[in-house]
Amino acid sequence: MVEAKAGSLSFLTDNAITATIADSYAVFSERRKALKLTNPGTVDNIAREIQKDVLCTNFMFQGLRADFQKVFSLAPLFRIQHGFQMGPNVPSPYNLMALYGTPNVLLQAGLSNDGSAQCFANYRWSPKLISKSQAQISEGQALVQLDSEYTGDDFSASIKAMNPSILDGSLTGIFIGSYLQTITPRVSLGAEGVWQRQALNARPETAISYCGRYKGDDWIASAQYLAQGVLNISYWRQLTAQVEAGVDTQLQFAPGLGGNGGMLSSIRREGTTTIGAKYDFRASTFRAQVDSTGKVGCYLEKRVAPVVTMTFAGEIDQVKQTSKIGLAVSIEAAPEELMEASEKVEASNAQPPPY
Amino acid sequence: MPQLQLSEETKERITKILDISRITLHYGYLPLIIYLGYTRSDPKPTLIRLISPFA
Repeated sequence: MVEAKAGSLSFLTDNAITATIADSYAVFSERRKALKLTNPGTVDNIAREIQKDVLCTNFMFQGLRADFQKVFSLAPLFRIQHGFQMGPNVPSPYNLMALYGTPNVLLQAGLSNDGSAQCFANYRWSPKLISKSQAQISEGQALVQLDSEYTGDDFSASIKAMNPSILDGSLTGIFIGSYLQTITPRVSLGAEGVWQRQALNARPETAISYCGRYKGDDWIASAQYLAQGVLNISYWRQLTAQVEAGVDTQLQFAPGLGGNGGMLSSIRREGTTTIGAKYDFRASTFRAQVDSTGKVGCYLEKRVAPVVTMTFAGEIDQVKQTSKIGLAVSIEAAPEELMEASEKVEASNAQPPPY
Repeated sequence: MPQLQLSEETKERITKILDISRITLHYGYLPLIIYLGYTRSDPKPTLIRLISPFA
């Protein structure tokens, strides 16, 4: 039966055209493999080394914070974290977080005492394809984000949907597709397209942004042009084994919002440049940065004991004469037999959960 | 854009299902993860260690 079916459909696979296509595809992928290109990372992480590792803008917090993290098991990974926070702009003083992970599944949930919840669920279909879903739920409303990432040998592609819905009678929501390709061993180029329609009575909007990245021996330069008229240029360099430094510039050529009806003079030109450095010591990490709007910030993370980490964050705005200070303690508890097991897991090179 | 025709009744039903699943996700997801972790962990933790932040 199966053979007969294969026979009747074989004209689809045995003709000259498909053979030529398959042949040229094989030759093409062979040549591509011979170039020995590496995966370029993702469009979101095009300037990760400087923006997410060296600069402390993302780590800044204000007030006091204490986290108690307990690891119960490593395979599967299971941990619970109790977080206590106080200070200005803190929406909820307590939140509970739980994480469960196996090599193919990652489930994470957070619940704050103001009643809002964050849910994450990631699944690895194959070593290259990961799907992620994320929901943020608070009183009577929910934000949903679905994301699929394909990490190829020399490219990365992803599709993202935010709050997709067909209930209004037509498709609404935000859809983002991005693609980043390694061109030569040092250069990679990519683009990102956004299609969005907030409601049925609004017109759909599209926007395309472009990005590029050049990787030197111990330095990386990247540029990203966003459709709203924002240009982001960054440079990162590894100075010694422990010291990294970088510059990040953001230029904005967006039309001003204050101008009434397309006045030429209302085009706003703004720019911010941030210079930062990161020092890694044996048991601590120090980050410092200065930017062109007059802000000086520093972030110090110190491992006081094997399970206790203290964090200090400070920022002074010289122009506005304001300052922010944050202090955090994080305690990570695990039973002793797990400590030994963790070394074994690290040694066996088990695949981590799909973060 | 192709218009998708949904009757009022279907729309109401879908909205209700979405509402219920949102509430389930809101209050049920974290207990589900704790239950999964508690039953599948190796070694299995004691209940008091699971609940108290200090023990």
